[in-house]
Amino acid sequence: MTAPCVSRRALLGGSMLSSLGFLLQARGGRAADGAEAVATTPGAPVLLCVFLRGAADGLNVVVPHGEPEYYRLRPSIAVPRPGEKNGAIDLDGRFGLHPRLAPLKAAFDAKELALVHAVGSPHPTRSHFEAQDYMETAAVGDRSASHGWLASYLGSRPKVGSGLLRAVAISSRSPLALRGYPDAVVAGNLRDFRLTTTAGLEPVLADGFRRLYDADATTLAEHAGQRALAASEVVKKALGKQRRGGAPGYARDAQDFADVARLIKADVGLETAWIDVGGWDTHRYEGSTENGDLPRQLDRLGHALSAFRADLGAAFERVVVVVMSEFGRTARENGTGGTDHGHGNFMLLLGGKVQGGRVLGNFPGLAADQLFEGRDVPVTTDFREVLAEVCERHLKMPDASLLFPGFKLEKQRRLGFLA
Amino acid sequence: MATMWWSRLFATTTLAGLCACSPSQAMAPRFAAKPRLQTLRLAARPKTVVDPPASLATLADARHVLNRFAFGPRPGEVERVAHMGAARWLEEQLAGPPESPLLEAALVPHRAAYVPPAQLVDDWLGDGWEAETRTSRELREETKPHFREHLERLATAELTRDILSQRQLEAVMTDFWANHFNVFASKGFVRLFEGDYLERAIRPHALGKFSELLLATARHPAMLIYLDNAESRREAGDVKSRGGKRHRGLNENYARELLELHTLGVDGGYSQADVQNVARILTGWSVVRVNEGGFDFVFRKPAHDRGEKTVLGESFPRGQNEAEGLRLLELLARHPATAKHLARQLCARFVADIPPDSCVTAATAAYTSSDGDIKEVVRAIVKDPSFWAKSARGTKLKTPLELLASAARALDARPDGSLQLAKTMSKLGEPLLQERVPTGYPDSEPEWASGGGMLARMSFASDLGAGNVRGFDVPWDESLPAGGDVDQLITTFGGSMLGLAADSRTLLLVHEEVNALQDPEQKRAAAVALLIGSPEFQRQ
Repeated sequence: MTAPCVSRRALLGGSMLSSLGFLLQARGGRAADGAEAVATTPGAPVLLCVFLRGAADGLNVVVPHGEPEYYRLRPSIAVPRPGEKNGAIDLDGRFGLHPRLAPLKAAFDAKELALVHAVGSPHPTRSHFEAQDYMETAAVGDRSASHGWLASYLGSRPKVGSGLLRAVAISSRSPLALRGYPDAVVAGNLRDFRLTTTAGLEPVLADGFRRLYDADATTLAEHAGQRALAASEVVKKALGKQRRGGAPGYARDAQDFADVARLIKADVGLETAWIDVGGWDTHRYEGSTENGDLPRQLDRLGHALSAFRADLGAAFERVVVVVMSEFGRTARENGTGGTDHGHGNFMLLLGGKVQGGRVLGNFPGLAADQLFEGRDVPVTTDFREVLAEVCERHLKMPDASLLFPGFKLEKQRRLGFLA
Repeated sequence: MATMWWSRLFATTTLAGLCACSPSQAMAPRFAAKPRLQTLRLAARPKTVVDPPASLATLADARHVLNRFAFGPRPGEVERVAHMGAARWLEEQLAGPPESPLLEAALVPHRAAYVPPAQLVDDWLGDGWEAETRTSRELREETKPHFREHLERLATAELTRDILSQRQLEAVMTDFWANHFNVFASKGFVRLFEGDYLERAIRPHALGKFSELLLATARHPAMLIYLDNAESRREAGDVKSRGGKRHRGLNENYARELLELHTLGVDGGYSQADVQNVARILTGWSVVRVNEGGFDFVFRKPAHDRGEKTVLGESFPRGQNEAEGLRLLELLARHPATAKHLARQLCARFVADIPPDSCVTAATAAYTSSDGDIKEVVRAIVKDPSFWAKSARGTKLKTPLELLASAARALDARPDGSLQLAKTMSKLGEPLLQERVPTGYPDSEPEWASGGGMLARMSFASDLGAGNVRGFDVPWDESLPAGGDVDQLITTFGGSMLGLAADSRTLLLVHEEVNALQDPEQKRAAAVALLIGSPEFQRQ
């Protein structure tokens, strides 16, 4: 076993890295020249996490159209039954996809897409940031945890080659899930992940910054700067030139997905990718299927995921996409055409090896006595059960419990979406 | 009395100074020699007086307070504050010094940024636009073409203040509270109210009583719209509406964030029932509709839930209308959990990402004993030894805003009236007024220290050195003449701004790189780029 995950309580907020032994080890020599050949294991598995920030309304994503209560609770925002105008896309007679996710139906039919319902964090918090933190540290209930579970995963695996691009996050700031792995390539737009200088000054500044940031890198910022300078060359090369009008097959607002697909296909050693998608906090004007904020969000997500799948082609066999959000929303619509903070939610799994075409989990129903605290979908599947299965079956970790403090995946609880 | 603790404080803390440069370097004569500006900027200091050199420790203290309670020092300012004493400078800041004519002039092109919404609409759509006969949709459509520029102007105006204002502490606190009480300017009509929100709800109370600040935000249309309270109303069940039924009643959004983010904190001991009852109490707190002819706060009695409520164990008897909300906000502002929550956040901002216990204890006590006087909390933080600890100095990672403002100040740059500064902030990853979530922008290192973020900072510094950051003018020829001695420039800047010794690794390295170039302009450009982009300048 290589270095197990670092003590989760290791400072973090404090910026010193000294406790992150594996990191310094991982730097292995001077990777100053980012353009060096990146040795990879071709066909190595890749995990893409898509985090829907703001609490996506799972009941309008994976619609329980078989539950009469659903329509009673949501008089103005329910998604109509299958067969009705703008109706849900039936999946199994009980659940259906929001019609704006129609592009994903093909993947479901090809059994490459699985959904889990009534899944989430067992902690009852309805605070966005607290719930997101628990999902990203996977140390549910531990407010002091500051180490991300993806960082723990990366720390537990041997590095191949330069390791510059093991982890990529498309996010305006570092996601907590990757906290503790400051080598991660994090950028709101990967096309901006580069040092821009004025003509004539490039050699001096590139060298100068590399040296200034190549000190023993005892702080997060310096370490991140140093690694980013090295990784930026690889990123630039792998992404290639931007086509006018965006990546073929993708909508303009799906550049992030297109760029991740590029990196996967370029075989630059990518192991984990993370995409943040904001805008799910639909307290008002959530909408049903036509107008409203949620249909617009789902439209983008559905197209992006479907384009990503098509784009990857054969490489899709070694990719698993996990879509998740911090919690679900109230079963009942609120007083302003939206929903408030709830509890249980959905998760989506997509990938060439996913044994999909099913809605998994245990969804009890929407009657008052079936709801958590009388208002929300309960959590009957711990999100870590889903992640553990991905880590063990897809990423081939012998025991994913290492990543999730205080959590153990029981065999009989395995959902079985991966062989 | 007020001065006593200061003198005691400095008697014990001056030894903690960590400036490693020699006094002569730290005096930064080159940067200070700027007669034109000096008359405006340094009016308080007669030019004829030759001050004795300040001690290293005093210079380090001055640099520390300017880094934390201002957006960094301007040329010569470390020395000036060292001479007057960091304590006196801070008291001046708490009292609110007169504003600089330089800022007044720089804000003239941005006057529209802070215009109240009704006038803004008049200015855009003409006096002939009769609000009474129009719908929100029409207003939205017709004002749409103006919004982008308006928000860029507002962001630029705020940045202009951060760079030029003499009231630096007020500017820093305005940034702090604008994030604490964040609203997303691009949500609905919030954009119409954002300037008014910053100018009339946040800034006047930034160093005032927290209870008044809280009330000002709670009643402001920007907040009422952003967190949906404007539409929340008493439960009315399902009602018939266009195209079918809909549910009319509560929206919990503001109530929850009011407890979790604005006052008690997530550990503040409230329950889901408290959230709902807070939402019920605040039903009716709304905004005048467009066709009602206004843009102000209104209490809508028919929307108000008149039933009895209990929040945090306190009973709110039925039928008290708007007074219930006022009582609730007082209760929250006075609550011990609020004192602690705010103390933690302020100590994290001013001392360290993980706020030291002593600081939190002192700040909490000051908050409680002063009935939430923000000035007293600031004084308590400065008085706490943790603020002056060596480990607290030069260690906190600047936010992108702090980087841009401090770089502009260090180079004596003056905003040029264009809207480019707002765009630069977007490139740096902190587009002002555009944070969607109610937590606002963070200020801790793990959040900002991403690879992409660091590259953006280095790229910004490179642009700055080459004179390619648009939005402000750097008086290169006055402060950093290209033909001048670039080695002197590096030593002076490193000493005065960063407290680095002339033979520190960073400065030696910058010398070395720069001297590989021949062209004097390129040398200067590279020196500025490497200094502003250096790891040391990313910290304060």
